[in-house]
Amino acid sequence: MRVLFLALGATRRRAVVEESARVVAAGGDAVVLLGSAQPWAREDLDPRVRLVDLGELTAHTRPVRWAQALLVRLPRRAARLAGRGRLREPMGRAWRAYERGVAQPVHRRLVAPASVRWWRGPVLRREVAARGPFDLIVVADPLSMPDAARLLRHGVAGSRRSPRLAFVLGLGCE
Amino acid sequence: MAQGSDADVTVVTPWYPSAQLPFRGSFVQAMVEAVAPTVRRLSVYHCDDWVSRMTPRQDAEVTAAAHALSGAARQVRPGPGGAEVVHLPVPIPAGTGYADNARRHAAMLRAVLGGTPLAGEVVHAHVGLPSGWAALHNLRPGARLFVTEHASFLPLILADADARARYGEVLARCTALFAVGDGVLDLLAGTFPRHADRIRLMPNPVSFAAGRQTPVRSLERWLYVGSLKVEKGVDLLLEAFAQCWAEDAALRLTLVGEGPLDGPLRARAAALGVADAVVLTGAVTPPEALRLMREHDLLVHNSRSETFGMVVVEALAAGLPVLVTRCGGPERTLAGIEYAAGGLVEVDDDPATFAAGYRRLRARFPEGLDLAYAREALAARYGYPAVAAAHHEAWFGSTPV
Repeated sequence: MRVLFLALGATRRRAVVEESARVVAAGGDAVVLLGSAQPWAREDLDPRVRLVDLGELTAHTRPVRWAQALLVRLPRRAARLAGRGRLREPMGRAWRAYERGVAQPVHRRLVAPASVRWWRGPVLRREVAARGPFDLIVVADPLSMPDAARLLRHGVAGSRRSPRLAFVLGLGCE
Repeated sequence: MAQGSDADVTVVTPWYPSAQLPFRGSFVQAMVEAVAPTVRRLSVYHCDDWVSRMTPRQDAEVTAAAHALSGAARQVRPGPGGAEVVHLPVPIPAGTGYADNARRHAAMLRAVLGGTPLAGEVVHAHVGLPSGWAALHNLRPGARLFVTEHASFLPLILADADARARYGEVLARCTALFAVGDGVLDLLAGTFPRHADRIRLMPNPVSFAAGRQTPVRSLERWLYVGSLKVEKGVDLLLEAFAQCWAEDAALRLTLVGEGPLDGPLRARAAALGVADAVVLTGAVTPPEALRLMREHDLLVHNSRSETFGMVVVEALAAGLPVLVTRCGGPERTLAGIEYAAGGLVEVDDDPATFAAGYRRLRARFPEGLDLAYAREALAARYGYPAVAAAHHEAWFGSTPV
């Protein structure tokens, strides 16, 4: 059985660790889609379980890269060009103030939510299509639910029939 | 009205063992296992709080998505005793109050039922809020609602005006509410005196099927099973253990469970010089906990407050003597068999009190105990057949066939 775990919120990590281990122990394939790898760093996932960091993949989409270029790379280059000689120190201070006061808040409040809202969905569908087909998709935490609902609505590209959905893998007799 | 074995019963519960929380709700699973064979069909809706930090916008999106997915992701799984179990997530933003939590449970239950009411002519909810209220708002006409209350945080629920009002609504419209201990019964009867006649005692069932192969020969291997939090007095237990260990280095302590004190307990065990004598296992499944009970010599609980103290009965069912505090539940659970079962200790912030209780127990072990008698007495009160018969009597006015 091929099972995809949507674990984008990382709030039910133990369930995902347990259930994905059970899938591979039974000879199946388990793929876990993460919103970010950081919360999972200390989890003891079975090495046969494949992890896909959707946050990392989304960060490499064109709109996010453009936003990063506009917000960080271009201003930094401008600050370096302008900050030569006696202006080096004041420009350094100005750059740090800009980074703290503008670039980081704008990224946190605008770019990051927009990347989740607008660009994560297409990346998710692409990854599900590329790594599928799956027999079952386990929606493993609340923040994965909107993405799962969109998958259900739009279907999975290249997949003739939609995979089954579940909130838990189940424990056999419960 | 269907009678007993012809009847459909629906259980609604916020707690049931899961991969995320294998411990939580094992008493609900035990109740299902006990009563399911006595009715035609028993369906369990496990409405599980899935808590996450969410902005109001995310909350709205997640809730809408959860409702949209509820039909496609609904899976009926086989449960104990022939029951059917549906696990149902209820997305909850962190910090949600008890009343709003109940409203969310009711809405998610309605979504998974597709707008139709719960099928059972008897609906049994575990805890008044959220499940009693959620069940009440999804009852079919003519169905009767029963509630078992065993929330140790019930005083907090009743301290909230909105939650108390919803609890009152549940009590006004249910057929009966079962409290698992006198403490819960007194609190509810005192808060809702108009409905006191609907509140009665009903214990949690415990399986007495598997006993111990070899009898306990010493009291060296202590076992604690429960949450690692201050309310359970587990920090004081460790201090008491260190005092006893200083007199007898053969003593060992196993702490089973998880909680905020996990790290501090490890550090304190090291500071006390008992790190090699103390094992913290983390959370384990209920079968594993029972196996550990059969491999230890003494169940120790230094809890500050308990509604029932199910683990005490489970330990004695597994043939393990107990040393527990008079914290509300255990002294009632063990009424009449305290000395046969082990020992009771007063709730005290001085760990020396618990250590003294251990010394007294050890001094009269084994002749001063009668574990077989205690086990038999508890089986008659809390065994599956006894509790299943009590539920059947309450639901249908007859004993199961």
